Amino acid sequence: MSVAYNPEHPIPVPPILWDNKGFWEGIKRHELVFQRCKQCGMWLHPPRPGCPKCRSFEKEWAHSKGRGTIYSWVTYRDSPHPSFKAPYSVVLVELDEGVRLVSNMIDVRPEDIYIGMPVEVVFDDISENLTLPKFRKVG
Amino acid sequence: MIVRRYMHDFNIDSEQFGWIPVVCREHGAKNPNSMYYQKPITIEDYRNSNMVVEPLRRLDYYEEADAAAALVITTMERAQDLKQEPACVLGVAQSMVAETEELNSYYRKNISALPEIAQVGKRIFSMAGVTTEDIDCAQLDDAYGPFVPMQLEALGFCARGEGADFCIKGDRIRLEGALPLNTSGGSLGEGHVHGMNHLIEAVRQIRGTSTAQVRGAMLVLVASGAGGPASGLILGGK
Repeated sequence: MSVAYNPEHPIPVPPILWDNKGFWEGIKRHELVFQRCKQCGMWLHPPRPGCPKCRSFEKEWAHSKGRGTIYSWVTYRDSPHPSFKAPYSVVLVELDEGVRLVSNMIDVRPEDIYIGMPVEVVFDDISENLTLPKFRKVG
Repeated sequence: MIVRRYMHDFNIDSEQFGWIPVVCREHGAKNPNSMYYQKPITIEDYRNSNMVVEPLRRLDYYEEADAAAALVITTMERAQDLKQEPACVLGVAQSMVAETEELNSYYRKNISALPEIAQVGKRIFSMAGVTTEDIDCAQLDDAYGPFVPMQLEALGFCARGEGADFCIKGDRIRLEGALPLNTSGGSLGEGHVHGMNHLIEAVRQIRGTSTAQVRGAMLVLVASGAGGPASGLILGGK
């Protein structure tokens, strides 16, 4: 099961700002990229101006392999927004590179999700203006 | 997200969290100012409460409340001339978030602990020159019930991972227990006034005027901001 959207309501889109522009441009191209500190090599997410570890402002967009595991998850039994049809699950994925991403699952029932579940990224072209990175079970 | 991970890390069943709203409502049921005056709930009510965002049930969340609260803060010298008996701030601190810049700390290494509350606790115990053993009751942030056991751990009232067990059956956190909690009812059992009602209840406990009075309460701890920037204080008699 994935998130079902209600076509009668516009889906809220993520605000694209200076810091996260590269991330969303990558998603549009079906590439999962994260900031990586040029000085110490730390992967960063969510996008931000500087590295919290070494304080450098020098960073680059680095390609993630898109694989990881479920770190935590919740299931909405009531919808908080008219665009989203409940129930749906929101997952916190820990990528192999060490960063975490809040996302949704594709083709998995909420009761089958578990912490530690191996997942990989897929790209969901929801509309002309919106592509979202989502995850599916590996194996 | 945080609660699910906490349950996973320490093998906690979500039903164990039910004792927090049960005890808060029990205390709130005695309080005529409470939204839930004379309206206690049972653990069965909690079990039957609808899942909202799983693993949290309806009764894990506060309800919106319209309320007003005020505190008069002044020097002890002035306070002693006033009509009401003063409560003295023995220790007070606030802390910023650690290893994250978001209110909901999904991105730091360990999301199932409350390092901000731990830091506040360390500071206020040292300022007040007291330990967890000396605290007569506590008013903790119960906007979301499952954060109460995490605060008990962060403040040192029990070991890491034992907070849910500490609350089980509710006896330790009731009036006659080792650490009575949220004696006005708190957010879950009185109304959500963003911790202001917790502060006022701490003053009432020191004055001996609570509707759920802990006998001989001399030291009361208040904590706020579980899961983000936090603050807390210890109040004592003059």
